Amino acid sequence: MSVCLVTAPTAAEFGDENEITSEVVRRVTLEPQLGILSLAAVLELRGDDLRIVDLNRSYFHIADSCGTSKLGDFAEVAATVIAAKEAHVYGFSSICSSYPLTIRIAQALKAIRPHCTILFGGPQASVVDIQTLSAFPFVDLVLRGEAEETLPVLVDALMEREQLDRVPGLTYRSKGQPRRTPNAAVIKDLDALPTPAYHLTGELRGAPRATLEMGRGCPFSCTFCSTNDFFRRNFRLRSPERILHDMRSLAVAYGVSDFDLIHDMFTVDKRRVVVFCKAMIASGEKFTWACSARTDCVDEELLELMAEAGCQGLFFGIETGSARMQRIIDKHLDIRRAKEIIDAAEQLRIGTTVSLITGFPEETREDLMETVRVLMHSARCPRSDPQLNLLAPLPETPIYLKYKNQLTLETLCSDVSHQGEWQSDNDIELIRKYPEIFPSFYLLPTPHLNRNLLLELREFSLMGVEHFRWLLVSLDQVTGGILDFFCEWRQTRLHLHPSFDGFELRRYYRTATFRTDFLHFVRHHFASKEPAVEAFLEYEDAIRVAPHWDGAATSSGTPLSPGATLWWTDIPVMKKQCRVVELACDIEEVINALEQQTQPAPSRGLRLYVTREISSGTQSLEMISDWVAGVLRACDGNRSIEQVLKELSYELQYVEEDVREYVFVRLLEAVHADGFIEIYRIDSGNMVS
Amino acid sequence: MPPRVIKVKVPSGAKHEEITKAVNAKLTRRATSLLRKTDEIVLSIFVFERAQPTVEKKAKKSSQK
Repeated sequence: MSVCLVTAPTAAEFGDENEITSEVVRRVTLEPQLGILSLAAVLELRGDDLRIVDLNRSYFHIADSCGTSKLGDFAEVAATVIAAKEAHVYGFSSICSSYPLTIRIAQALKAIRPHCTILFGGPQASVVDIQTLSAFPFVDLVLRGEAEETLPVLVDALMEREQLDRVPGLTYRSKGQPRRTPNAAVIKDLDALPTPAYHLTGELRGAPRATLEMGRGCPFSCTFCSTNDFFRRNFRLRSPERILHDMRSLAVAYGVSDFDLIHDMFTVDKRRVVVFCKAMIASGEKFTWACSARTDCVDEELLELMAEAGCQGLFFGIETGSARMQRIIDKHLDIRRAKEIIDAAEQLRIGTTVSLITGFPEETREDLMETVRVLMHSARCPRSDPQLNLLAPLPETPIYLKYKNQLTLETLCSDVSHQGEWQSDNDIELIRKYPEIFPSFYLLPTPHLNRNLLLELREFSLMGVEHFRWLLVSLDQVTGGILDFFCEWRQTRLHLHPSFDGFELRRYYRTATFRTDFLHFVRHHFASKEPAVEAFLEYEDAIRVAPHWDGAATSSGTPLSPGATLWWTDIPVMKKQCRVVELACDIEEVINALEQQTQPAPSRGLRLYVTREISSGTQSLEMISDWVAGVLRACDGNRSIEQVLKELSYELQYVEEDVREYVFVRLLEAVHADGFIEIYRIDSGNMVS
Repeated sequence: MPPRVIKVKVPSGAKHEEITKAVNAKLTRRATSLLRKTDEIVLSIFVFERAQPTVEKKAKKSSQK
């Protein structure tokens, strides 16, 4: 019996051209899906006849080869791709965000292969199993929960045409009605599972990092979280030896040395974290890793050990800054302590993601203000990334069960379920028809808060922190807080673009128009007179007016490597993305003051800086000297080295004439070696002697 | 016509040291912690997923969740 496993089509929530081509969208959605690869490894080990379809890869392949217009009917195209694998059983992974599309793909597949068995698994199908089988006759089976042990039992039962009621954790039809067999026991020994079959999909080739499963199960019971429905509350960890073994294998096979250790709550048991860290240190390996943690499950001492063991990133789900809401959602974090832990991680140079949620039915403006305070505390730490998310009512969670009769469908929903700028009409139709299957696309009532304001606050905070982190921090410090400031800004936004709503609003916050509008608003706000705010406005202005070159003038030339012998006729050009800017303040001093929540000391005087791209979408700022700034500015791609030297004679006039050439060439070679400029050699036929 | 290769006269002795020192001082850079982000698409990540070192763009919905 042949089995074809199909990944969740998570890329399909991104359908616009700019999203499809976005480097971050590609990287994120093309990461290996551990669940399906773990099952594939089990079947492969048994010698089953196995195929696998990576729908995200198919999605981008179609977008790249046929254009985004073909993506509208991706369900049909995907079904054709899957059907070509010719299997008896098609097993679909599922998560909430792509569940409507998974359903539609399965329907199209069943139309092509009416005699195949359609099997669903994964977190979403596991909790809406009965509803799924009731609503969609083309779905034959749902295998609930962890399936590494139950999938082989099911495959054998299907092969031998045995009764399905002996397969644990299965939801099937009997006399036309959905029935459940008892839940399967959780898998106690995770070390006994084979390494996920990374080799079956190509994602890790050339990848900067790999995901590794650290363990399963969370003992906590937060009211909004669905993890216990899938992994149960039985906390399990893989052994340090096994993790190290897999890290080493992946390092050899794919060259990765940075790992995301996947576990809902790795740090629950401090003693075991210590054992893991000590094993990492003792191994002598220089692997780096990131994991999730609760701020009440780590302390400064443990963080120090984790940093020494290679930890470079922590995900903290803090959810709400309100002590009252912490109790209501059963999270029970001490917010003061949470802030101390964020600071401690910052001191240890561990990056943090601080995740917050708004949109709880009980949440008041005071609660929201406390949450935004935590968001700004995170923003004040350079290595911390705050994010504010809308609450998604995940099926069967306590919060869903309490409010399931009050769900509201808006154009925008929680980012847990959808982050794209576009949503398929076919998906929307399904979501509207079956709220009990797709509740995460709905919102809960927020009687004390304006929901449109919350939806916009999410977009504003995400893009605002991304583009104007320190400007927002300075505004937060000198005004009554960023939430009030946002409300003022929103009034202006409503005046400027009154019709913007839903996806149009999301798109707006991603554009330069938002950035221009917002800076204009801040410039005319009384807070703009405050030194810290003024400093960042000046920075934005300087960036806007600074000339930069795209290298087009020298596109026909050959770039020279640093250290190459230069000709006077070679053309130096400042790299794309580089800009030289002048500021009247020391921007680092201003940032230091904001980090300490103090007023920046007055320190006026011309400072020169250069920006350059240090990674995709991120530019650094470095203070440089007047000489280096002069060299970079003169390298506009229209002048030869000889002409640039003439241009610079004014800058270097206080250098004695007999050594001026030497000084200039040293500077030029150094900025070339440092990667600020390219030097091109134009076709020698055009060379001027 | 042969290319005009750049050949500059290197100052000698104490003058060379003095000039090298001056140029090196001018080449000294100081990194700031101000990062300029240019991405137009930023994604959230979720509790059941992961964290990453700072600076990296990040986001995804877990395959496990």
